[in-house]
Amino acid sequence: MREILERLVHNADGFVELRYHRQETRAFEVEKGRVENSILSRRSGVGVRVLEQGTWGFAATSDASEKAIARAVEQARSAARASATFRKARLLGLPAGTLARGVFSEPGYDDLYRQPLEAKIQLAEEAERAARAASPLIETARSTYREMFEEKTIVTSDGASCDLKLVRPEFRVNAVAVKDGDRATFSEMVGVTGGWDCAFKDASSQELAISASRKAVDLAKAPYAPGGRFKVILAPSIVGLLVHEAIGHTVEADFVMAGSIAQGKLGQRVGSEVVTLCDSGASEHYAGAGGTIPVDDEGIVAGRTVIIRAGILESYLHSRESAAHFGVAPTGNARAWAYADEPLIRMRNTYIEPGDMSLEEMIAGIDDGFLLDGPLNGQADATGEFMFAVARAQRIRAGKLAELVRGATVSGIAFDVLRSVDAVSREFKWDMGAGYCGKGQRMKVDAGGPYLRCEVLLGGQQLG
Amino acid sequence: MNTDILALCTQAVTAARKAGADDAEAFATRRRTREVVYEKNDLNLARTDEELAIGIRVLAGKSMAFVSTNESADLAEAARQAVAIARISPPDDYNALPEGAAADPTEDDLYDPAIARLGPEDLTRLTAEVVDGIAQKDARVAIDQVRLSVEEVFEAIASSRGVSGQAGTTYLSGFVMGMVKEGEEVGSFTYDGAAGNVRAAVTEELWRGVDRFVEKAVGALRPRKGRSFQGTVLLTPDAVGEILVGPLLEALGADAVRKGRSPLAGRMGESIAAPSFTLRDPGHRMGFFGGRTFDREGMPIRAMDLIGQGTLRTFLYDSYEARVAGRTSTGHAQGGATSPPRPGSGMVEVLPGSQLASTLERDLGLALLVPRFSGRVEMATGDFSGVVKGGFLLERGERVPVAETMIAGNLYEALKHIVALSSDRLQLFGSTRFPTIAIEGVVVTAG
Repeated sequence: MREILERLVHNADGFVELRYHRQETRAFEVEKGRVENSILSRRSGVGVRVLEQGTWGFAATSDASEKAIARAVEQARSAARASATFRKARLLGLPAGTLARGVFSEPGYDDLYRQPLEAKIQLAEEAERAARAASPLIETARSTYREMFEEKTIVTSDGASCDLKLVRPEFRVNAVAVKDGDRATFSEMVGVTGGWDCAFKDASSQELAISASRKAVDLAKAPYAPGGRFKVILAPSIVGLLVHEAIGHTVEADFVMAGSIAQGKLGQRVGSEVVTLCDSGASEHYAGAGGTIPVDDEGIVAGRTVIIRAGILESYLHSRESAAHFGVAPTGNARAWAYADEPLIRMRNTYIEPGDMSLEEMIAGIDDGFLLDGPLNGQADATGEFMFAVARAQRIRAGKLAELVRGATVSGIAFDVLRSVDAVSREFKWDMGAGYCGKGQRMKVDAGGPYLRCEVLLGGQQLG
Repeated sequence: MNTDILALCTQAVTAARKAGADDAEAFATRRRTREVVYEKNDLNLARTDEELAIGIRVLAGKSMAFVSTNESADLAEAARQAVAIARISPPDDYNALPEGAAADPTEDDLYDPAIARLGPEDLTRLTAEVVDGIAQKDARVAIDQVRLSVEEVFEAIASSRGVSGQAGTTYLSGFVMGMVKEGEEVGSFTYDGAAGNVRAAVTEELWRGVDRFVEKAVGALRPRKGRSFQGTVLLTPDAVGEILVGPLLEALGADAVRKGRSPLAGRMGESIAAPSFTLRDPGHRMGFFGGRTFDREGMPIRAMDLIGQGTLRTFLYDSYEARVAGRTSTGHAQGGATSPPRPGSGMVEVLPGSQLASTLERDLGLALLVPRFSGRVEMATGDFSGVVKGGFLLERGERVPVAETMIAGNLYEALKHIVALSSDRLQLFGSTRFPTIAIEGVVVTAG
């Protein structure tokens, strides 16, 4: 494939970017003892991006023959020309960055591809069974195993030429408990870039299943959270959500250019001195982060970017186009979900650097507050205003963990929350690898970090 | 009409039978897309693509599997793999494919040639007009994105049980999102738009969407601290979809009922909402938007009340769930060529009440107006909690924008505490049409 793409690029005028992308997904879902889905799907094709008259044109074809790709190049040119008259700021060139050349392969691909499908169905069946067997209060359980194998070839007319290969397995198990007519649900999940040795290094699929059931049972009789402003400790799972949803999106350079809250704030204090926030194509501090990419979809080597250093906003996340606009080097954040998608600025593995306190010390410093763990979902605006729902909120009273409550949501303004951070733990965990980010296109990302102590607005079912 | 994709489905069924399947079904989609995107304060991208995808569902004995591919040369291999996976999957006595009774293969009224003719130049021109229109209405509005797209979608289905159908549809959609920036102040993020199958109607609705977008963005500027109370919230059509109808449709899925996840299990025929509340599947067409003529399994789509005057009338059945429940499919198999069918809803509407939304706003007394909800509704329990976006406190007929206000309650309780529905409704992005709804007993927490 690389030879075909290089030949096409060599014969083309102007800037041309060709990206062959093949995805193969296998998914098995078991619920209440029934295999609900046994699915295999393959999707492949070539995405073509051209810069014509300073304007982008994009076309995609599922036919990866040389003739079809050449036709797609012409369609992309035609689309660019059609819209060029309305483009105000012509893009005259792209900064080179570190263009990738060669073969890049993440571990686990071949082993997992060769592993029999029976083993994967069995994993899902056994986990679902274990979840139901964990307590007589479990009404139903569901387990899903999914793996995506990806192969890419990226060639650009200014010198990128590389092949990539990686696999991302993910496993999730959900249990619904009913106690005296009261229902609660809890999910455990894991998602990595790598093989099963990496995915299940901290807990086996059955251990995760039993944990989900026990936590669902605990929540079934838990009272609802009160509303109000509290001092809280965010577990790495919630830190991940905070840094991805509430901060990471606002520093994506396309959002910055559209007027996000981070616009014009480079060099300004946006967090307390204990906060250093990064985004990396590699799995820093701990193996297997789910958003790992060696090269982005513009053919730029994906490095580590310090977004906030000791509370000061230092960098945005860039594609080649946004890097040209800001006069900096691209950061390797241009990513496309599938061949038919154009690269957008996306996060990879986003995290806060660990600190030097223990979790116990942080809890001891709170008189009345909560330890928040288990993200359910989250959303944030370009204004930095965010909200996310929390599965488990454990009250802290007089420096000690107390009762569990449920139904809590957390909201605030991202930079205000970062400014309120007064303690960061030594413990570190990636905890968003089973999830996907949505920004027009889906994307595999990861996020996490240490425990953070800060102040937030808690929403609950009771008036505070 | 693209007859070649129906032929492809037939070939796939034959290939699956040849590979050892006892029964097989193939569903194919050919999609042609043109799209223009304005963002970062400029025309950012013009794109075009075309894709053909096919999904093959096979039965080996009572075991089932599904394989999809967009590599059309791969058909025989995909069929072989589907059979291989089915053979290692555990059996289920209810696994089967639905029988014959295919939808009308000549149904073609959702294909508007005026939409199909739109090229990148036309979309670019309309995008530029929308951007200019927003700037003329209020120069403080910062546009995050304007996205206009045209899709031509051809779908076909064939099975070894006699199902055979095909249909072509065109969609035009326009979407705007952004916020107001005034000095250092940034207003709440908002969006609006229109989608449908009739070019003239969608274009007209898009301009109304632009008006609503600017009004929402500007109205939310300079919010004040709200008030905490337990009382009435007024959900706009957007919030009705997010808080009430979306999770309710999930609970109405017959799969959720079978799996013990839906609290509505066993409540067919019972009153679950205020008598003023009727949730209806309008069938094939609603205003300027039309859905499929047949569902993901080839079963005909027809209008029906899901909840009629507060009473639960039916769950959403595909053929598998209908078989388990001893009923017939309601034509609610959703999905496409890349996923196996599962129960769900295509189009849905809530019937209107008797007073204009503006009258409800004026007459409610103390209430919180919820234009948009960012939070979570737990279908299994009904608990919802989240932040109100661009909210307003309503008091003695006055609207005061409020920031960082959270609401919490329970969906199933909220349905019983509906106190009013507006007579005016909004058709949101084509496939849903809701009034503004007032609900009592919700906890409101100001930040």
